[in-house]
Amino acid sequence: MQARHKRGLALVTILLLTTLMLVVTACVLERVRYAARDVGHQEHVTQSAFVAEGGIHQALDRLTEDSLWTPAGGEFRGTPQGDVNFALELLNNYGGTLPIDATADHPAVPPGRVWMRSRGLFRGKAISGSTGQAQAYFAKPRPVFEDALVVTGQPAALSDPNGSTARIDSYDPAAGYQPPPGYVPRARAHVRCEHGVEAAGCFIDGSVKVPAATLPVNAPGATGPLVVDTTPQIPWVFRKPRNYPVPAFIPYENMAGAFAPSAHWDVIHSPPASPGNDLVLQPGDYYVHASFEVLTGARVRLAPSVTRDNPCKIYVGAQAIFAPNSRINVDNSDQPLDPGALQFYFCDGMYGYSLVRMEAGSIAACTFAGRNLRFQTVGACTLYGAARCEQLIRDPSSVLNLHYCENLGSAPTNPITNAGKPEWVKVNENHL
Amino acid sequence: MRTTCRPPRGLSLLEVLIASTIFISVFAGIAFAWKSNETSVRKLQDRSCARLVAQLAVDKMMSEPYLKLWSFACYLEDPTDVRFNGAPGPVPPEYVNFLSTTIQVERGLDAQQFQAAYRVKSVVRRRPSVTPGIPPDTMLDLLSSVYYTDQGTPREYSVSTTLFCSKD
Repeated sequence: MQARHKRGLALVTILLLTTLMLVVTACVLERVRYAARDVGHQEHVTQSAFVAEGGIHQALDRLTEDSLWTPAGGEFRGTPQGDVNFALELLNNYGGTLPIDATADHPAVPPGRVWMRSRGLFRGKAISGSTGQAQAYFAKPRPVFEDALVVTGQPAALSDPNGSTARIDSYDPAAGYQPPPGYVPRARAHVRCEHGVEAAGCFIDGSVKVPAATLPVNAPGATGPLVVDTTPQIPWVFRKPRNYPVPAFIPYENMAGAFAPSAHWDVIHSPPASPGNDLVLQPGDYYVHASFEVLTGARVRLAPSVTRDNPCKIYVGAQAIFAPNSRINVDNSDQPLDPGALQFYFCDGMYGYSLVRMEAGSIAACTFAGRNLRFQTVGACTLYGAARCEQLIRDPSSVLNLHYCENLGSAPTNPITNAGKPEWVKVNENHL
Repeated sequence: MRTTCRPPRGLSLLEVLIASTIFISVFAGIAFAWKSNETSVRKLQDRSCARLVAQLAVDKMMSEPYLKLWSFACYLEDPTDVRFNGAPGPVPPEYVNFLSTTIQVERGLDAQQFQAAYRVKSVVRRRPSVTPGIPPDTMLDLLSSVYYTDQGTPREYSVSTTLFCSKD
């Protein structure tokens, strides 16, 4: 009886054993199949994530052209990259004053911000889960200036061919940008002139905006690339609207009688290294009848409350002179450089023109505006800022340097390098 | 009364033969499947490595300053291999840069060491601006293609993105 029961046991054992092996093998194979699908999915996720990130960059490019841009239908799709594409949702509250309330589809968007969510698509279907997506808020810091130089009323002769030079740029191609702390760099310097630009021996790294009919002349001796922007456009309509224009000059007749009794305001404080000897300017208007001169080694500082929104304006009757090694608002270690905070307004009532004279080593962080503005620079000096004038008077013996984002090397400035950063910057959600 | 029993004999010859046949068949099938599985795992590792290499290449490009992407340590490998703005033909060197290198990856699989070569080609292309007439210098298309062999078969995996830098 027992023997009969044990017959067939081997077969049963083998069947059980092989069944077990088949089950284990099937599990392993299924795991490999799952891994294969997962690897394929991860490939698509990786491609989609990068394409989705690129979609945000493409949207930033459009936002740079039009800050209030909103895609039609609320969704922006790019050109498919093979099977991969992106679908971007965008809520633009840049021009708004009230927050956009959160809904089930999107979070709240504060004023001045743009919210985007870019989803990667594979063969038209969104990648599921949180991967393959990019979501961020964006804000737009103001650029340093609209244009480096604005000349109205005459062609701009940026330089005299007889030995003088002019350099207008906004960055050092070798070292990258070094904008003032807190401000994004400009990619190029722009010169805007109503009737054309004559540039001789001039380095303009950027574009010259002139009416299409009056092209600039890049005379022999020009050392830098002169990019001619012949895009048909209505004169003085910015391709990219800005918030901070260079202040318009004020005619003399509007300034007469507004000057303080002092004819000259010489900043003679020294030594410059002592902060206690700085001339500290407060927000508001200052009037100087004749000249505002910062003597050798002297330093002018702006009070921390002086900003571009709350500027210090100095109305000068004739000229501003920055002697060698003088400083204006550059070597402040206790506050960020804000070039638009100090604004010089000139009138041409005394000499027929306004003179801005910068001598070797002087650094000015301010804007200049005048009807007939003569820049006279001696030696290497740096101007963080911009100039606007009705006529630009060239001085044959001068060197015109408009470097408003120049890399100063070891000069006392904040060594921030924002190279490659877009104008629209991602905002930490915690800071909303 | 004493009863004598023969030792139990539970295994017949036929039973053993059938069991052996089944076992050998199943074992052979499992061995074949296991071998295929190992090959598949190796392929998956190749694909995963290629994906990571491509991702690293794009990340590296994106970490470069915008303007310095042009001075990326690249060389023009094959000017006719890519199209510029959709037009076939040689690409101006100032528009396209290549980074071609060979990466050795050591992998551990079943206590074995594998070395696989991944050749990376990183391409930087200027992307036309959305505004007609404006020089296309506000956006760059970054493309990283990884070439590798999968059991002797050449494979390619590409990752692309777009990098924006404001004109102003």
